[in-house]
Amino acid sequence: MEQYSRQIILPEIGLIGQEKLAAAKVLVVGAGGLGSPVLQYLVAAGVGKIGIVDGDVVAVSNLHRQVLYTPTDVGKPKVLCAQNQLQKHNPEVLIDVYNVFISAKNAAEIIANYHIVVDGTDQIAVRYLLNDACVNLGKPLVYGAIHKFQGQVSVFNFLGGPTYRDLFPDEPAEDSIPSCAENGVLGILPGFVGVAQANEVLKIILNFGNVLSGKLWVFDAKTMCSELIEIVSQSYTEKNTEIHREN
Amino acid sequence: MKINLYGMLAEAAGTAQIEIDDFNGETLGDLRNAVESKFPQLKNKMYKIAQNRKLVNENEKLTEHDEIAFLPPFAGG
Repeated sequence: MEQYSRQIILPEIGLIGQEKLAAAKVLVVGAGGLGSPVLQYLVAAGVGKIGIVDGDVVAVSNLHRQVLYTPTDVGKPKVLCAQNQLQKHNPEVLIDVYNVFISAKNAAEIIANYHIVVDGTDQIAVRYLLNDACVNLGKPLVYGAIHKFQGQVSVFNFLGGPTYRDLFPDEPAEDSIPSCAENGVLGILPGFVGVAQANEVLKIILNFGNVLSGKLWVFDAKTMCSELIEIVSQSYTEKNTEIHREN
Repeated sequence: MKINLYGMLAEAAGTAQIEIDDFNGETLGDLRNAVESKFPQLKNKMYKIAQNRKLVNENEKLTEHDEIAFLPPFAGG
């Protein structure tokens, strides 16, 4: 417990909060730019069980922002390198790895084992897939996304709050929203955004502060300006949920 | 009327803030049409409109001092 002493002395956490963290099960989908800081801080905080889903291998071009990895990891599966590094930081945390890409076939089976899902993916279609699976399974989804120098964070499907489809109802064509590989990205940007996602996970588990449900945090690293945009539930969500339940 | 653009909308328009001087419309939908007429490169882009930091539908009425932002989805992670 000594390693957690500086957070246990916070009235918002305490020993009871630390026990809540130890009992929590969090799934991080995508072990890239966003996943790296999310995983590092959740492991350090003592979240009891963490799942990591990613079927990719470490590439040299990942290293400027995916700070979990080193040059000796290049070519190796991300989930195994991440597990190895994170376990050194905190051997008490149980880390389950899934060396696959999340898909319609495996999403429900994997997500069902966790309380909270973190979206650290890099493809727009997967964001919709994760959102719909979390709605179907009743799991909160801690969303983060980045574009060059800007980031977005929100918490979807939390206590009946809005979902990703309330923000962007219609799924765009895959090639219409470019990824980091196509666009480029400032290396520190996923650090800002991923830490904000880890913060939301801690707030959900520990029940302090205001969870970013119904709010979209928009951040610009060039100006250091940020805005909180209110998201209103659309009727689409109810219809979509009903369709999932009928199926 | 000034409009803040995010992400690839700002890149398409070449600026993070645009101004529509001769706007005579009433709703956010009218504003979208005016913006896309002046910046046709924004047509067919997906984005949501925030009015005074709240996402609203395009039937909402505009007032002179509203803060308007166009927000596209981001894919990167």
